Amino acid sequence: MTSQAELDTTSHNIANANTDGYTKQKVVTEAATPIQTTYGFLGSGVQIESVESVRDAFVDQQVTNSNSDLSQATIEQQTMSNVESIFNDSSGDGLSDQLNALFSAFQSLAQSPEDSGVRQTVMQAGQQVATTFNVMNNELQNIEYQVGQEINSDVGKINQLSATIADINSKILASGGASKASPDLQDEMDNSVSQLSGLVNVKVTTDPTGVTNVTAGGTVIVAAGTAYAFKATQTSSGITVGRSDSSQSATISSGELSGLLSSYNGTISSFANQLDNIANTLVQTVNAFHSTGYTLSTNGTPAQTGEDFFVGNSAGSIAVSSDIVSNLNNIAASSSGDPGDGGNATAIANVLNAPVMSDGQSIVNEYQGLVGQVGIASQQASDSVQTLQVSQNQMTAFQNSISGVSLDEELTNMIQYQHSFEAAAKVVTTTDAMYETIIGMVT
Amino acid sequence: MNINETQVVNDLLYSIGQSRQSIDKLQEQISTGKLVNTPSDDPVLDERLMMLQNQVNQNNVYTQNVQYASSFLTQQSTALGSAVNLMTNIKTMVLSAANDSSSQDLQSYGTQLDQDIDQLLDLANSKFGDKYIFGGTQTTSQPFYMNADRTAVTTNPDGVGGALNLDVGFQISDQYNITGQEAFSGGQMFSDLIAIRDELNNGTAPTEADIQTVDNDLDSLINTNAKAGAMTNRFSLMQAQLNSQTQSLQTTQSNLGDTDVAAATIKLEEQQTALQAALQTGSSVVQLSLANYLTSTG
Repeated sequence: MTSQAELDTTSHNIANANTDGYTKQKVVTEAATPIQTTYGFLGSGVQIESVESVRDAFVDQQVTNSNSDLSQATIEQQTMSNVESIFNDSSGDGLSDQLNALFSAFQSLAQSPEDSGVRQTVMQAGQQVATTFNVMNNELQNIEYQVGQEINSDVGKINQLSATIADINSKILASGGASKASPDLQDEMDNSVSQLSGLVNVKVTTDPTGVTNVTAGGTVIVAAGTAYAFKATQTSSGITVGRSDSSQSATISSGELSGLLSSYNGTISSFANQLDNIANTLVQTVNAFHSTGYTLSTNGTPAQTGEDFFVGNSAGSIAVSSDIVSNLNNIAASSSGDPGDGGNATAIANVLNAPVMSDGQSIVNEYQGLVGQVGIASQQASDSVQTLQVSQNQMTAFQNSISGVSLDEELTNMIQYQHSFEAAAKVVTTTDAMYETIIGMVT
Repeated sequence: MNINETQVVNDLLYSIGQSRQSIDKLQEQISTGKLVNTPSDDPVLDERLMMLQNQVNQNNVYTQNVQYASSFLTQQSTALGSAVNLMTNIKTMVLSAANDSSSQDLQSYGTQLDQDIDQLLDLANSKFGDKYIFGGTQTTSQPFYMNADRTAVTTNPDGVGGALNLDVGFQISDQYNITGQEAFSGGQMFSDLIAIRDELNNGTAPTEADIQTVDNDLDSLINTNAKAGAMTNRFSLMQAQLNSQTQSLQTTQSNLGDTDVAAATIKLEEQQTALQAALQTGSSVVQLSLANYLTSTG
């Protein structure tokens, strides 16, 4: 009987060797209550105490934590690599090159301020810079929007998982506690908790009745058979996540959701703001010089000052002034009003490389610094994925060595159980033979 | 520690993944020839490379400016050279006229001088592309023109003395034109010649003062021509300097940012060997199991 149960469990283990989150089970046996006889206690064999999962709660918690950290780092890395592709100037057609082209165009204008072909080049270089700003801004907004969508979908997944856990809790309670419930139910629970830990920082406690309570981001989301749903709220400063029945937001510090929230509320908006700042400074400084310069006088219209080259105040709104687009003579290349004077064009070109940003950098350098920041952020994100991957591998290996199914071990056990079954059978046949001998003696 | 099949497979997949990643990176570096293909490959190097590229671009712009200035000055030198020759002829003619007393001869000298004035005027109104080269900053209007009654040459009232400047280095601006003011004393030269022409036409021989005036004008032209030559030389020198700067910048750029193909290829082969080894040992280790040695006892 006992050997049968042991073989059953072995076969269950082997069958589930590749099941995700499966925990090795083992039959706990004990010597059966001895029978008291006149000549003392007589052993009455073996009995099954329970079938239980082989696990180490400490290692399980470590895996859960490293899971959260790794998911957070992975999602941050994915977002950063998307952001990085926007700022990729290594290919040679990024904003840095466009700004250089604008510089060249204004310098050419200084050579031939009266040449309408050169004026055309300047206008186009200006439009190219403006369009590049616009496109980068759009792409950043797209990424931000997608991250927002993913936050909503993660919140949905969290709610689903907390509902599942509450459901399993109810089942465990119904079957009369953890020791009575199937170990597979516990595995299903572990699986849900592990998935949940990938999404958000969770703290899991199991009370004596076998019920698992879950706290996510410092907020209770599963209490026995009840699950409390999360919801994402858009505020002026970004997105916050909290229980839908409370106005207080949860403190999400790791997991995929945390990575998404920090990208949405921090990284992306900070890069977008810096880009806006560069675009705005470009508009302000170029216009400051452009408006003091003189337009090209044409038959009838005298040279005049006060024209702006760019309009707008952010990466999204920057554009070449419509006055310039409709009349190239409105580009103010001259600082004296003379048609052959390109002094103002030189001044505008030089402002692109002059220290006009608040931190004493030039516009071009400031942008290149921003690219550097994006690169470093992206590099750090993938470095921490690497590091966390290694530590998670280690943790999982440790967990595997405790709870994982080793086919060799199971097969060895199988042979062992087979032998003990054979031995038990031998005892039975021998006893049988002895009885037969005694009965034969009687007849 | 207890190692089971799942763990062996996990480890194997992880190390194969790592190998593939390094191979992919090396492959990218070799095929693009660049060490940095995205900013995160090496943010610090990327920023340095961008700054170097900036400097190269700026130097290219300055080189273009210097080339433009040189061409412009060469054009001015040519015109001034012709003007010097013309003025030398005029001087010879005025000297001959001074020694001539026949009013008929003097008048024919006058006609000759009238034509020479036109020629000098043409030279003063020469163009470079669409620009009047001796108009100062008034490059779109003719700097000097003969009045309809041919009694005087008018100079553009907006002035012909404006300096044309271009950047030849970071915030270094340099003048690259001889103005009409300098070259033709703002039109005074024409008035001088017209006065002598009128005398000749009236049958009056040029005086000593007239000869002196022509001599002064000739000296002035020779001087400005020499100045144009000196300016051209200076711009040529600048161009040579800019070129060598650009070259050294590009060398630095290449040293820092280009893939050392030989080294990268060797590393790539190393990685490939590692990957092959991982695949080979992996495939044999994964097959190992006690199950292979259990004979079914039915």
